[in-house]
Amino acid sequence: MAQRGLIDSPGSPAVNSDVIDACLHRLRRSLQWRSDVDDILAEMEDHLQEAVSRLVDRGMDPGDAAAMALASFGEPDSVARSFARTPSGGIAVPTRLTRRAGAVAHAAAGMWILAAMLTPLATDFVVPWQQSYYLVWSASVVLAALATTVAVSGLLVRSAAGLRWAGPSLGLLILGTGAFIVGTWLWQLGAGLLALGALLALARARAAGLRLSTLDWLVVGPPVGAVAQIVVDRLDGGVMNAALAGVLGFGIAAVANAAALVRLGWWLRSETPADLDDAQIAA
Amino acid sequence: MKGDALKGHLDLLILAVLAEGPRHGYAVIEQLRLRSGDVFDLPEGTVYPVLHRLAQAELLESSWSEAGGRRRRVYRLSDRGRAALAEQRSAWEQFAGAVGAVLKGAPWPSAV
Repeated sequence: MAQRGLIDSPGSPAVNSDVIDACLHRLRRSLQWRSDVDDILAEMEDHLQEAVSRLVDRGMDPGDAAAMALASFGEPDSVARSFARTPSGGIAVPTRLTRRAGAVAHAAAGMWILAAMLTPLATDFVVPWQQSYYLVWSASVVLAALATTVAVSGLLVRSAAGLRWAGPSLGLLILGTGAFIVGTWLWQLGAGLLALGALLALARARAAGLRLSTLDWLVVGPPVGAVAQIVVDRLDGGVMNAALAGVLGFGIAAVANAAALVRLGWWLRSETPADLDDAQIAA
Repeated sequence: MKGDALKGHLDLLILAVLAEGPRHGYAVIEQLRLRSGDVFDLPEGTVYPVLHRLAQAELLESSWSEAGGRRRRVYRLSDRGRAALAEQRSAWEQFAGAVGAVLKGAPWPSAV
C-alpha cells in the first residue's frame, strides 16, 4: 500500500499551474462567505498539488497532470455547493437578499424600541388615554412586527429552509403580525406567535449547521414581558398599576425583540454573499 | 460508483479509513479508492465538506502541519468518532447481512 500521503509524508514541491490557480481563484470567490475560506483554500491547494506531483512522478506531462487532477477534483462550483449543502439537500449560503434582510432586522429593532417608548402614550400612565395616541402606538407595533417577519424570513432563506420549515414559521409570523393589526391591546398573542415563528426559524438554522443564538431573546422576551405584566398588575390592581404593568410588560418584550434583531441583523449583514448565482443555489 | 450512490455511507467510510491512523484529505480519498478497488470514484473535492462536517460534529480532530512548503491539514479520529464508528459499523453489518440473506433466499444470520 502506498505510504505517501500519510501524515509523515514530506509533501511534494509545488507545481506552477495556471489552471490550478484559476480553480483555486474560482473556489475562493464561491466560498468567500465562509470565515474559514483561507484554511479551506490551503487544504484544496495541498490536495491539488499532491495529485499533480504524483501524476508527474509517474511520467505524465505537468500540464496533462494538472488537467487530470482538476478533472478528478470536480467542478469548483460543485465543490463550493457541497460546503453549503444542508442535510436535507438545500444550499444554505448568504446572498444579497439575506444581507438586505439584515438591514430590515436593524430597522425592525429600531421600530420595537420606538414602540416601547410610545407605550406610555397608549395607556393612562403619563397622559389621559387618547385614541390618536393609541393608533400611533399600534401603527408602530404593526410596522415592527412586519419588519420582524421580513427579517426572520431572511434567516429562513439563509438556512435554505424548504416549504416544510419555512411554511409553518412564516405562517406563525404572519399570524402574529395579523394579531397585532386586529388588536394591539392583546400584544401578548401577537408577540407569542412571532416568538413561535422565530423559534421554528432558529431550529431550522441550527439544523442547517448555522451557529447563531441571535433570536433567543426574541423567543424568551414576550413570555417574560407577559409574566411581568401580570405580576405588576396584581400588586395593586389600580388603574395606574394596570397602565404601569402594560408599559413594563410590553417594554420588556419590545426591548428583548430589539436586542435579538440587532444581533440577527449584524450577523446577516456581516456575511459576504456567495458568488453563486440563483440557479446554482437552487440546483 | 458515483457520489449519489455513496450518500449516507460516506461518513462511515471516512471514519473507517481514519480509524487506522491520522491522514490528510488526499490520503483519505486515496484510501477510499484503493480499498474499494477503484469502485468509489467520486469527485475528490466533495469529500472535504464531509471531513469538515465530521470535524464540526467533533467526530474528527484536525491539526495543521507543513509539507512541501504548503500548509497541510491532518485529520484523526476522536474518541467520539471511534464510538460513532463502532455504532455505525454494527448497524451497517446488520443491514448488509439482512439484505444479503434476502437476496440469497436464506434466513439471516445463517446465510452470512
